Amino acid sequence: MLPFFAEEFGNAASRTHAFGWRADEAVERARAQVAALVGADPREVVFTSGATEANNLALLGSARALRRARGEKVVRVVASRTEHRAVLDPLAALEREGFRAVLLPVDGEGRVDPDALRAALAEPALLVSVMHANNEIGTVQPIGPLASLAHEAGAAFHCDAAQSAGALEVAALGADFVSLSAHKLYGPKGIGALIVRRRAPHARLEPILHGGGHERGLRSGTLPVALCVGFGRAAELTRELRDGDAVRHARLRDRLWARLSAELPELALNGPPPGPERLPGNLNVSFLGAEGEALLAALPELALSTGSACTSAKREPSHVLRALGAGELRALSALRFGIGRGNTDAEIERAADLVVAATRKLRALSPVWDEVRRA
Amino acid sequence: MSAYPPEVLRHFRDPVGAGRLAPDAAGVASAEARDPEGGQRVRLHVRLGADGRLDDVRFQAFGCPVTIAVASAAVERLRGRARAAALALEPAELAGALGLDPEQARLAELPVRALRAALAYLAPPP
Repeated sequence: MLPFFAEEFGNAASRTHAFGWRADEAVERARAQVAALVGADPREVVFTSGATEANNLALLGSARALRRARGEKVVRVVASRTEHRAVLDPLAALEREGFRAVLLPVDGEGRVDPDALRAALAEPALLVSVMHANNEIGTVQPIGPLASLAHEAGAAFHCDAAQSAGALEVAALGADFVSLSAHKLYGPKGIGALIVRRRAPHARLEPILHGGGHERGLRSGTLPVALCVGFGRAAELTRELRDGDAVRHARLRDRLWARLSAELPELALNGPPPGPERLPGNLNVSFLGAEGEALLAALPELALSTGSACTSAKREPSHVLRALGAGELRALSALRFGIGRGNTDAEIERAADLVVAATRKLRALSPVWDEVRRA
Repeated sequence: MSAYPPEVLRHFRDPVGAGRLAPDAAGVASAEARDPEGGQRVRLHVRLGADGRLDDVRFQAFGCPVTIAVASAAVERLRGRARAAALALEPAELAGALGLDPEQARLAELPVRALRAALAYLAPPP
């Protein structure tokens, strides 16, 4: 990747000189590597600045194109309540354009009930968007049946797979559009892709960025060659390492959960139990009686998240945890752990020590902990 | 860089008077204030001595580091104060001492509200 920042400075869109050809070759190699990771055709890969842009392109670009194709009469777009902000916010933008967003409930572990989707599709809809794996609670959603329901109802299907690009085949997913992100695969930040399936009779897509017609007219703008190369290499490495990674991350995650749940009473696991229906490196726990932001601040050595980044006084509990039916106190006491390629056994033991100590300290001064114990 | 002012972190790491007082002891009362928007809570426990001074004050808190810091800073100031002087404590004094931004400053109301409610349980001296 690095040579393409300086020595190899060609523009992949320059067709008239060798610098451009070499850049174009590098981009096309990267495109093939990304396609191979998810079982797509390289011609289906549209490079974007990340999964956020890929989601915007899929949602805004297909909703607008499909509404026009269907005579401006259909305006509904269906998604799940636990989508990432990079889906929910474009949906809000669509509502300002006269579309109507319909949000589906999820069960206690974060899965969309196919019957709820079937009911939502009783009225015509343009597009359904359901994420493959949830970024906060790790729920891996069976996408195939939902995509089939959408297609039976004449709607297109988008899947945000930013969290799980290493663990899917687009053909099995059945989605028309799939969003990917490089940095979730240890690639560079600032690059992602939208997979735009070629045989997708229900789908239409128009660009949201105009100016030059790059990426087969779907995403104008000079490609960041170095980032594309980095994304491609990350995809290739993920293909090589994913089976081993998944086993190792799950083992470390299970060890962390085993220690926390053995040493601390009154924990609540948010999301599915560890297993095939949960991302291997994800753990989300409510430390009832201890507040999430305070836990984070007490654990500066650990790079964690409460799920709802917020350092101001207006603390909004995670919309994902609320969608599971978690009460305010459970949602406010949640902490999300992400275990990845760099983590070691020793780090997990150290993390468990620190989290146990911080939880005990905060519970000792918590009026909510008194209530939890009484209950 | 931390998102919290240094004084907030100092109180958060080493809070003054964390804990509770036995509720049925003479001169002891406690009350809790909650932030309606963010779910933060501060409970203050006070013991009013025969001389009319707060001879012990403790706090419990549930919330972000700012919540814990405002409670700790309140305890630090309230211990030993006479009732009237304790009631004169204003949220702005705590917010200023801790360097809170305007949005965080709302949380400084919690220990002040809890204190006033707790003292209301204890009859003023004749």
